[in-house]
Amino acid sequence: MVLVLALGDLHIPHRAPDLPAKFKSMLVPGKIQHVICTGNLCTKEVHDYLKTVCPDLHITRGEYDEETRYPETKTLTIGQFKLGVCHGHQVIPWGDLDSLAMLQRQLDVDILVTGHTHQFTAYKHEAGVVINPGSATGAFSSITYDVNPSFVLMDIDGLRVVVYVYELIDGEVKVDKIDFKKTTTATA
Amino acid sequence: MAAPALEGAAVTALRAVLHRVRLAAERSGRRADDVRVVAVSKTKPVSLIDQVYDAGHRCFGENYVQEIIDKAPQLPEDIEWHFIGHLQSNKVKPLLTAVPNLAMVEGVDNEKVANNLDRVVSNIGRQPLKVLVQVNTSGEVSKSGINPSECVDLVKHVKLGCPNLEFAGLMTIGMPDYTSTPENFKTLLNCRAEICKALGMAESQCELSMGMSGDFEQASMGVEFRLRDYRAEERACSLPRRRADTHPLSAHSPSALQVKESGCRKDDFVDPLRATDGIMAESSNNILHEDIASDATAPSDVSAQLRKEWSSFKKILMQRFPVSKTTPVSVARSVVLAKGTKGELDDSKNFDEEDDKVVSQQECLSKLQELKDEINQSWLRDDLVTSLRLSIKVARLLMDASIIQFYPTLFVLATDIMDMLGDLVWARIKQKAEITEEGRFICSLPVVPLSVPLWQLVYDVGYEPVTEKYECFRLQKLLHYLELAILPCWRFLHNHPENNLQRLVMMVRGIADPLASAYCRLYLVQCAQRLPQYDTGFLITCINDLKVLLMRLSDGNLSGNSKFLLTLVEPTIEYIMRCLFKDRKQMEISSILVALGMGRDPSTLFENCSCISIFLHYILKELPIGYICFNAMEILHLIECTDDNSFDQCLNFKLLGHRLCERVPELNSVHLIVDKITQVLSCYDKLDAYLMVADAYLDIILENQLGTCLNVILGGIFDRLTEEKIGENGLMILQSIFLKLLAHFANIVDILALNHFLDILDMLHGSSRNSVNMQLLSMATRQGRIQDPTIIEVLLEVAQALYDGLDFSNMRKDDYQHPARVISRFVYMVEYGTEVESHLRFLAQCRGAFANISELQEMLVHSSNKLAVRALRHGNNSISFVKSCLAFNEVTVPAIPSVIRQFKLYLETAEVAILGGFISHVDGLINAAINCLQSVDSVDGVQTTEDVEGIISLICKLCGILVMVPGSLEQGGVCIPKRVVSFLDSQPWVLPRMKTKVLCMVVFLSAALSQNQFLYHAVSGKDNMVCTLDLTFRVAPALPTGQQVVKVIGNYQLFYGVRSYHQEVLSFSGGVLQDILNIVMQEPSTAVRGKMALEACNCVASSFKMCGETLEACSKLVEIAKACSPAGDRFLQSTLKFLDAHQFLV
Repeated sequence: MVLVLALGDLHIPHRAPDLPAKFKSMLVPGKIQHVICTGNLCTKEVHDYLKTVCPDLHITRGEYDEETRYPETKTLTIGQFKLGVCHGHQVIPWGDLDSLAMLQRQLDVDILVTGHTHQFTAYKHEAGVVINPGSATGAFSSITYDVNPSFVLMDIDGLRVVVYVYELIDGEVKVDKIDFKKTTTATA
Repeated sequence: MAAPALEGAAVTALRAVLHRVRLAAERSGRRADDVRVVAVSKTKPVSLIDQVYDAGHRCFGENYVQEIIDKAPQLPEDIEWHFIGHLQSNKVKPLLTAVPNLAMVEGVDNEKVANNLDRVVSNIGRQPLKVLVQVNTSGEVSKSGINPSECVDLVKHVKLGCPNLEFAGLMTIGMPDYTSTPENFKTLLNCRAEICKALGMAESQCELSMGMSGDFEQASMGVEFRLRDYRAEERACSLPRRRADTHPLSAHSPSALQVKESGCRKDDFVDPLRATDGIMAESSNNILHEDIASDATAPSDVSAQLRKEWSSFKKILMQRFPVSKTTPVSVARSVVLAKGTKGELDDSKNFDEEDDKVVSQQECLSKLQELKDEINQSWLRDDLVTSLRLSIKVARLLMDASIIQFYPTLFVLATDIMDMLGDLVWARIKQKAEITEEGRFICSLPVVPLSVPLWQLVYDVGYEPVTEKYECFRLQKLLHYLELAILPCWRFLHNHPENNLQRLVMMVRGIADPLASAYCRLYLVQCAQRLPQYDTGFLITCINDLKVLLMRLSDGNLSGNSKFLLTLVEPTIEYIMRCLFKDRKQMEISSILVALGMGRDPSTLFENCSCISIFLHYILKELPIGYICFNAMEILHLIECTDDNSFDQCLNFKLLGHRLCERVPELNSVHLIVDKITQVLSCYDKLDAYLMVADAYLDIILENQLGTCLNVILGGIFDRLTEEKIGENGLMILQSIFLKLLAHFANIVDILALNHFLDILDMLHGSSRNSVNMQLLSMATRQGRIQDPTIIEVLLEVAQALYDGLDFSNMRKDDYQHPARVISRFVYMVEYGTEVESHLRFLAQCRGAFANISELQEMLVHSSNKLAVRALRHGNNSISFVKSCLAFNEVTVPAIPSVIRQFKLYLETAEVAILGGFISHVDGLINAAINCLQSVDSVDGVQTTEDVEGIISLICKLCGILVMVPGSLEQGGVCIPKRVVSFLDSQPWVLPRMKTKVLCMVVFLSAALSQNQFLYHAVSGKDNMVCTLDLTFRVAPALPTGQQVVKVIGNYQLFYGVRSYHQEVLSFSGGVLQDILNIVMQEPSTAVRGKMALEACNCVASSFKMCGETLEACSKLVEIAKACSPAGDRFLQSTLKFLDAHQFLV
């Protein structure tokens, strides 16, 4: 049972001062094994904070990140799954399933995590699963300013993944979940 | 008669069409001549046709038989007439007879009409008539056009069964209303393909006539975008979600989830800071002075400790009175080793010789070093007399205190030699003493009869004493130092060597020169320390003697030199006091103080000694803290009464204050103390003295929360400020005071409420002021948001003062980075809540005030955008405010040094503008952003791969935004993407790989622009603002009624009904596709080419409909990809699978 936190688009301090307190209280160090961050933190303090939640941190570069050395895309293997990360502003049009599918093929991953739209979405298409954890602080995006803070926690267990979606709606944390399985990989 | 305007228009239109044909042909890689333009002249007057004919055009088309029969004779014979209407059988003959220059009949859709035409042509005897077979590609039930499935047969019939007809190709009119869709064209293409296959014809011999003027470009391109239904796609792919009852982050999740941190370091390293204390202690024991006689010293730890203290004391002494290298020492005793016998110890005669030389202090020091070595050497050679003689020389040097600055150093070095001698003597005697008893080891020092002079012990047993010499020796004043050096040796004579002390004290009194006398006492006391015990009496005597000495020195009137002398004597006083008060109990201290004259009755003090305050100072310094705290009031009183010239009274107060602060919590009678001090302070007129004393007691005041007292003091400081600039000392102390205050108070409000705080702060200048300002700002921002307007104003002034105090042009970046950051943080923490206008005004103020801090300027832009969004969110009359925010940004961004940062900020502002619906601003901002790109190489410099990747990534972001940007009517819908493409071409640092990447983005962008829905657009939750999401338009001629007024309109809405827009996007993207192909094919590196080809073909397959052009392009790219990619390449495999699944390549 491996817990992977996926979040991004915090835009601290430009658009939001901090993570919501209710989120922070849930993100206790030691519970989570991996953190995936789609980008747009934007400052080092946020990076350091995420490191305290879990030292195994994978970040890709958002267009407003101060740190220029984060990569544009990243892949990692957790258990039976290959995960890919990308901020998403480079995928045109943003959130377009076909364009995302192309990226997914390019990275050759089962689960692609991207952000930028600040809206939580989870899709399954022929290339695999695409998850957008939304904005963890509820910062405004290019598309909208009515954003509920959200992040995602994936529980990877063998060939099965349970995706928990945490959203802050009207001051309360609501949690939903999504289940999916992977068929055993066919060798090329 | 056609109106002249109309005629002109026709020719212009013709030219325009021909131009577009040429472009379209180029785009599709064809020659312009291959495309025939038929000018449809139906219903147009002959004169118009004449005009067009005169312009050079020959090919005209008519729909109506009667009309063409009427017109044709009136017009030149070399016109190529095409009949493009529906031909009834009974009209065939009249048509063919009347129009001999009929070149082609388009629209043969059945065998009957074909046969008819064939017959008539043969009857008339004209040359074979070209015909086009009309195919019904729309699929609708209509009269014209043969079904695609039957077209092969018809064509066969025409070709084989109609000898007088020439089959020229196929024709279609698309939809019944003469509009066309790409499907029509595709169908026609397929028909042609079939026919040519069946009849063995080359496709190039089979013309295709399709489309109206509106869509010929499309038709000739064979390029069309895939139609997308975003909503359906999302619905299909969406993963269903349901409420989760438990989740891993809930508080009750089992602790089994505790993580074993893989890769966590264990505590198995050695912590260097926790090294065993034993090691440390050992090493300290080895720190001894440079003497060689380490095993000659008494081995106890106490002695070692004393040595250590003494040597550090000496070091401090030397540092305090440093030797200047150039000041000469007039005295130089020539170092002449007496050639005399051992008996001649007294060389006083030699010293009277005039071999004084003027040498520098350095030389003198080196001479001393030589002497030291000599003494040592002689002793080791058993030439004890020489050693002693030389030691006497050294001791004599100490009697000369003419160059007073030099004296302390001289003292240190000379006493070093003395100590060395003392150790040598001790060792010698000890050795002698121990073996006196025939080798039996004696643990305690033997007592030898007093009658034997001490010196005898030094010499070998059996040597004949020259008694008179010894007597001489002992009485000489020169031997003070020697006596002192060998003081410990008295232990060999009897058990109480300390009895000699009083005698020695008397002896020292005999020294004439005050400085020498004082230092001799210092040495005396130091040597006494080495004795196992002694009483304090002699110390007190020393002090009292010193008092007398000083009084003599000052004689009530301290001039420059005497003052300096006084400072030179201070170390002695200090050392003696230290010895006096070390480890004393309360009772003892009281009696000591009384003995020193500091009794209960202070009024008598001054009578006894006019220099008492200097002594008081060192007493204060060395008294145990417990005593001081207990008797604070008495001591205060004491200080108050001692106000003389020897030492600044305020320094004594200051010292007391510092000492009291060592134990602030333990103090009782704090209020009394503080009151007293306040009273004392009020008597000081000068700022410096006031500050010094106030600073010393500040900690006590602060710890005990004595607010009123604090305010009184601050008031006192303020009163003593004059117009003159505060001196360096004053600045330092004020800085210290302020920093203490800032550290103590947690709340900025409390600080600002202090009496005169800001006024005094104003009077500071230089780096002190900067430090205080920085600390003030840091402290204020540490508490969180700053909301009180008055405080904001005050802090803004403070920030401005800090900023003005920084010299950006001359300082290094490291130096001003910290203050800059502090100021930026302050600006960031200011919060106006709902008063957004005030906040914007504040931002504008900051922009002007802090122009050189670029990170701050950037933050202002972000803050302004944040404000704008906040205003949008709250709706209601926010339009003008949002506009002001945008305007603010437009002014602020250009001043930022880095153009890439400008680019990002322009994009962010543009996004906000889109959210708010301000098209004109959006255009301006996007254009400004692209202008930034143009100068990125010259201004920022593009050096690393990181830089390049960053820029490319940002350009992709720009493409994403452009999906939402309307474009302009004058310049066309794709004017901005065109600028992007031309930018890529103009920059040498853009590698082919990146170029294709961006061009693929442009293709995706174009595809998105051509859709009839939005994938995304600025969405607002409020009614009075914009945009509709998900308006689905069928491609129909009229705007649906009842649509709400939209403020921000997307491309297709803006250009709705303007067909040329759609074509423009298509032709543009067709060109881009060609570019991509070219770049891929020209890429030299195989591996890179493979990757580029894969990326491109994915892009093409996702964006375009696969037919004609695009199919060709995609296939080509796939071939390249297969050829250039490694065998098991996953991307290739998944791409092929993807293409296969969608039957793209079929």
